[in-house]
Amino acid sequence: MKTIFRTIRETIVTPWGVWLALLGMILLSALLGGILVFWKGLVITNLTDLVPWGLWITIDLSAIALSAGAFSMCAAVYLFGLKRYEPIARTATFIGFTGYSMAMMALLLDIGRPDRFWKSFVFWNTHSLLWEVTMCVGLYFTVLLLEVMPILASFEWLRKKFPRLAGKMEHLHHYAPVLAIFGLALSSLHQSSLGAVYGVIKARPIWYRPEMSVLFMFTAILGGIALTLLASMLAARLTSKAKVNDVLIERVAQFLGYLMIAYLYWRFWDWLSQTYTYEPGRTEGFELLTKGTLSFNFWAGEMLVGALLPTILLLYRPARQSPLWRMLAFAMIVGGVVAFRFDTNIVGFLAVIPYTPGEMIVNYTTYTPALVEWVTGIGIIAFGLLAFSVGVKYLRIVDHRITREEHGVVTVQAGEVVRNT
Amino acid sequence: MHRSCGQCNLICHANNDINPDLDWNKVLEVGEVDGKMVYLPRPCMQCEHAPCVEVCPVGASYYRDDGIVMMDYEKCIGRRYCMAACPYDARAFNWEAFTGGNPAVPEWGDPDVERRPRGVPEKCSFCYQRIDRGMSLGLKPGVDAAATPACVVGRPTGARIFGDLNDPNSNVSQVLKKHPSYRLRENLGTNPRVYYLPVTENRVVEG
Repeated sequence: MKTIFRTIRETIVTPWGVWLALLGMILLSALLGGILVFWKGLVITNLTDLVPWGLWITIDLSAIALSAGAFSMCAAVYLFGLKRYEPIARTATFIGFTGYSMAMMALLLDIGRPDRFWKSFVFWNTHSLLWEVTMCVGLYFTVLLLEVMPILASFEWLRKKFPRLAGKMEHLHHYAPVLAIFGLALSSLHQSSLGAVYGVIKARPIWYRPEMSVLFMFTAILGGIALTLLASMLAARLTSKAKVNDVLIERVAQFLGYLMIAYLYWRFWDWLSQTYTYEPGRTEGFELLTKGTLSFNFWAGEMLVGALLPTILLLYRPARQSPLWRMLAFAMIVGGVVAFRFDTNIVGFLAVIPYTPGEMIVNYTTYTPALVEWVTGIGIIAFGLLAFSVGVKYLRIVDHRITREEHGVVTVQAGEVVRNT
Repeated sequence: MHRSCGQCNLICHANNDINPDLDWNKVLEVGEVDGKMVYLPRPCMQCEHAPCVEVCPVGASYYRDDGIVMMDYEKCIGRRYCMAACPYDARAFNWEAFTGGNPAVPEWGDPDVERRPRGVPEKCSFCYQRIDRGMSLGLKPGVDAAATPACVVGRPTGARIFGDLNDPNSNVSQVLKKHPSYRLRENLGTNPRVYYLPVTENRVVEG
């Protein structure tokens, strides 16, 4: 009896076991929540005719944005020849694949007829930006699937049991540059058109502006790379299965800092242009962001902590060189991107623009996600964490020592230190 | 604009078998003139450039040849982009299934169209089923009651006029020629086919 308890304690009550148990419990309750949604319908959410898109859409938009590290890093490595960042591209690809799976889960919950999801691939309205997004996401998910194959091939069990299959999967890596071209094209198309989904809606003036697509693209690249680096560094701190090259990460971090400057520049002019003249709906929406219910999200989440602070941290060398501050900066960028997506979606709905003639009285509505939206939403995030954890443990997705002969070796310049090797 | 008795909305619910919680044809109070409340009924505007048709990813919203904006409830996946895009809040979503009897439907009649399932948005269709059936019997929409939308026929106050805007001799064309009129959110360029006569005229023109 004693030995059984000891075995249990030693095999299950490990940090890994506790982590899995925690994620498992969250996933289980999310599964129950999901079943409830499919059974009872969307009436159990807090979505209304006035706010038809809420928390799930935010998770969908954020998951897609934070997956953008995949195409950015793959393009950098396989198209722009920055070969030494290949190990980061490997991590980013896996995160991208996970993120798109998460986005699809959120969508499946959110659409009124999940049983008809396949119709979005069969019936085409080529004029719709959502059609374009659907097509690009579908195709890009296929690209990610092919890109992730060589990573899945590094699963020990698969290598031993099915060496030929693993070899075939591994071989797909030869097509990495071609896949990167497709990935870049499809991603940049739908990342920006996801912004345009909002940007073309004339009925809601706070959305109706051409910057939307550019801002969505910007935030996707920023958030995607930041999440990839944050996850890599965090994994390397928590487990010996993950090995990072700190110098490599710091280089990308600096690039990210410059990119943040460009982002802030865009946001500034975008912000300023919206403060001029009264436009029903837009002005009220903008006031919700700057003074109203969304002001904390906007000023703290999007601007101060989400953009300004990480920019300073990433461009100020001592802060950037400190792994802790650097990780914090990445986390802030990720949070800022999520806040941006949440605010952008919700602000267009909260200020209700009247269609009645005469007085222009803008009404306000509210939206607080229902418990079932939270439980399932957090479950989707838990799925992402689980996939990443398993990837780190069994697929070496964070291992900056991995080099591939056919693509040359990681060149380490004089003075660079490869950590943890 | 007309004085509301809610009759048009009730008859709309009966003909189209609409959930009592939803409205295709909301009647709004928009103000007072000479101490009398002024109401504004809001059916689907049947826009020439309908944002809902433009944005639907699967093409579940589409134009009929006569310009009516239709919903294919079989194709719809319930993504709700149309609801975000509609400038007139003209779409109501089936958040839950509508089961059981419809209080608006009288004992002696049956609704004209099939009830919509859970998970799709629905909206006014200018009673296309009445127009089609009427025309197949050789009747003229806007002239013969059986070929005219239910809300127009059912109005006890005569507040709504329906007809073919492409026909310069139709009653709607004639009324719009004689009277000043306005449409909702005209600045968006959607070109709605629902015209409102100023409050003194006390009527709505649909065409």
